[in-house]
Order: sequence, then C-alpha cells, then structure tokens
Amino acid sequence: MNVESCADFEDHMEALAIGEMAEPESSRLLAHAANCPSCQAHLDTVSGLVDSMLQLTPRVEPPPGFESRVLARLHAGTRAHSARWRSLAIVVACTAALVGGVALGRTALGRDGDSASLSAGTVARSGIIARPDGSPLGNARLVAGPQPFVLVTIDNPKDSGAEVWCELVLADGQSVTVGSWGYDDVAGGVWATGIESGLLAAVTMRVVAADGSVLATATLD
Amino acid sequence: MNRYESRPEKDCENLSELSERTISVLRTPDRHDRLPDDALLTAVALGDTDATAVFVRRFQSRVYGLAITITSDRALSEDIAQSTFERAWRHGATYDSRRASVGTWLLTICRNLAIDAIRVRRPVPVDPWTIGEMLAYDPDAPVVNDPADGAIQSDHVGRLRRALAALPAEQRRAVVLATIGGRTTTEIGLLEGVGVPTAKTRLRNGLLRLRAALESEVER
Repeated sequence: MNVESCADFEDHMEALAIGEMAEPESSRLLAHAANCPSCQAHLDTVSGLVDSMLQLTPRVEPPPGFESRVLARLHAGTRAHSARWRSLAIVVACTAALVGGVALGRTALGRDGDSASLSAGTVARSGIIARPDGSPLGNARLVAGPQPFVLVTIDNPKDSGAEVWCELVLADGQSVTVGSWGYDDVAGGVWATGIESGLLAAVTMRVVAADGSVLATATLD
Repeated sequence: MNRYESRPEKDCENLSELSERTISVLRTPDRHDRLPDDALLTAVALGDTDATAVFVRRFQSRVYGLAITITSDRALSEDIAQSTFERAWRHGATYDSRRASVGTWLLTICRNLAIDAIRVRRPVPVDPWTIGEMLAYDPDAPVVNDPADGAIQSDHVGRLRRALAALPAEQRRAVVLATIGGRTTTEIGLLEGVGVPTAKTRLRNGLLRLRAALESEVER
C-alpha cells in the first residue's frame, strides 16, 4: 500500500483507529498523518471516539482471587520496579499539578487544545515548603475537584528521615492533621491524600515531627 | 501529643467535626478509596501496595469485562486483565491526563492486548452468546452510574449512549463490534453477512454520525 494522498489515508483511517491495520501499512499511514495536520486531526478525532466507546464496556466481575493474583504478580516484579520508575512517577505528578492548572479527571475526548475546558480538577492553593532556615523542602498543592486532595512533592526525598505529619491550617488558626509519611512512603518524592473540601481554604501547610515541632512550612495562596 | 488529634487554636464546632471526619478517614486503611483516579495511579506508580489494591478493585470489572467481550475465553481474559494492570503499574508514567481518563487509558491497554491475543490464536474464537449480547446492546437502557465515576465522566457516558442510540442499527452494530468487540471489518462482514466494503462503510458512517451527534450535544 502506498499512502500518497489524503484520499488514500481516509480510506484506511477507520481500520487504523480500531487497530486492524498491520505493519508496515500502519507505519505508512501514521507517517502520512505526521506530515498532514488535517489527516492527523481527523485520525485523532476517530481514535478518540474509539477510545471513548470503551467506557460502555460491559462490567464483568473476574473470578474470585483475581485481585490477589494481580498483586502477587506485581510483587514478583517489584525488584524490577526500579528507582528509575519512581523518578518518572514524580514527573507524572508534577506535570499533572503544573500543566494547565492541573489536568485531572479529564474526559476521554480531551485533547491538548481543548483540555482546559474539560478539567475536573484545579490547584486551589499552592506554596513552597520551606524549612525554618528558609531552604526549600518541596511544594504543596491543594487540588480541588470531585475528590479534593493534597499533593506534596519533596525535592530531596533522602532528607525525609523519620515519620512526619502533614497539617493544614485554616485562616482562623484551626489546624487539621491530614496524614503522615515516612521515608518509605515518600522515597519517590511524591505523597498525596484525600481531604475534605473545607480544607481547600487552608492558608498554611506544616510538616510536623512526632514531638510536635514544626520542621517546615508552606504558605498557600 | 497524639498526632491524630487536631490542635484547634479557636473553638469551632464545625471544624472540629470536619477534623474528626478527616481523622476517621485517615484511620481506615481504605483512604486511597477517596483519591481521584489520577492521584491513585501516581500512588500505584510509586509502589504503594494499598493504592495498587484499590486501583485493581476500582477497575477490575471493566478491564476483565472488556477482555472477556473480545476473547470469549475466561482463562485468556484473566491473563489479559492481569497483564493490563501490570502494564499500568510499569508504564503509568506515560499516562497523559490531557488525552484520556485513567479508565480509558487502562481499557485501551486492555483492548490492544486482547486484540493481539485473539489474532495470534486464530481462528478467532467467536462465542455466539457474547456476540449476541453485544448485538443486543441496548443503548436506551437506563444508565447506572458507578459511584467511582465522576459527574463529568457519567455525563459523558450518558451522551455517548444517547448518540449511539440515534445511529441506524447496522451502523451501531458495526461501531460496537469494532470498538468494544475488537473485531476487524472482515470479521464484522462475516458476522453481519455483508461484504467487507459494506462493513467498512457502516463503520465509517457510524463513527461520523456518532461524532456529529456528540458535537451537537456539547454545543447545546
């Protein structure tokens, strides 16, 4: 097959979108799309529709014990799940929090150009977590959406040390402990937990040690 | 001081209540249940065992449901579903929330694995019961929302069902068989008793009409 024109591409586009097209034809079609914005846009739309249809998949409970077998399989591969992977996960979380005001819970039809209008989550407040001497520890973000949560990123997880607690402080001084993390929990540099929507108004986030001393603070705005 | 106690500096009944509710959630091992899909996937990628268990529980019926729909083979479907979660765990960093929801991303992985599996195992197993269920798919049936789905997600599924219902029956069958059923246009032609060109035309027209219907719903 020789894909020389948009008409040729259109003839095979649906087959490409549903995964029917084999190599080398699929590569030729994709190469054409890469150089033709109109065909690429058309392919993106049709592929989006195909993906979207998956939401109508009938739900069928797997055989008993499925969850345990999956976890055992993942556990067996844990050693291969290296530090490299953890660092990539940080990028995921940071990107989600930073790009376009947090792109969380987007619908399947979301595309780069229109995703902002489909966002279901936004950063309500954020701030740099700083130690008492002013040196930065990381960032804290309060993310609004169907299920609000706090997302904490630690610049240097090695400094995390013993278990610490995360407190959110409201404007009137009320403070609420929303969770804790230890070295193992935050080795990848990211920690998150769900919070009540009322806590999205918190003005300060504090990292507190077991003895109650404040190790670091973030002013949230 | 007990770290799970709030430290109110002013009396405020509502906030104390809020604090108690938050604390109570934190004391349960299922706090990951409250995380949105994106945050949960991040926790899975970080190797959090509790989060991974919640993630599997949240999506297993959809993933296994798609695998069994495409393969009609229970043992193969379990293997595909397990592989899907393993891929999500290993490659979660490639997930881009701007392009699709976590659920759609996961189901796309599952669909690709299932299609690869049935094409390796030719002839394609065709379970008349499963195909019959798909063809009898009733887009007019009331939508039963999953509490795990967000409001936006449920709304989108509702619009999709309505748009699908508006298609001519033969186009609807072609679209469902090609997307959820993982069938090729050749297989759709065989199942429907028509030639490949007709099957392709039905699929193309069905997708075009579906797109137009969804766009007009959004504009309304």
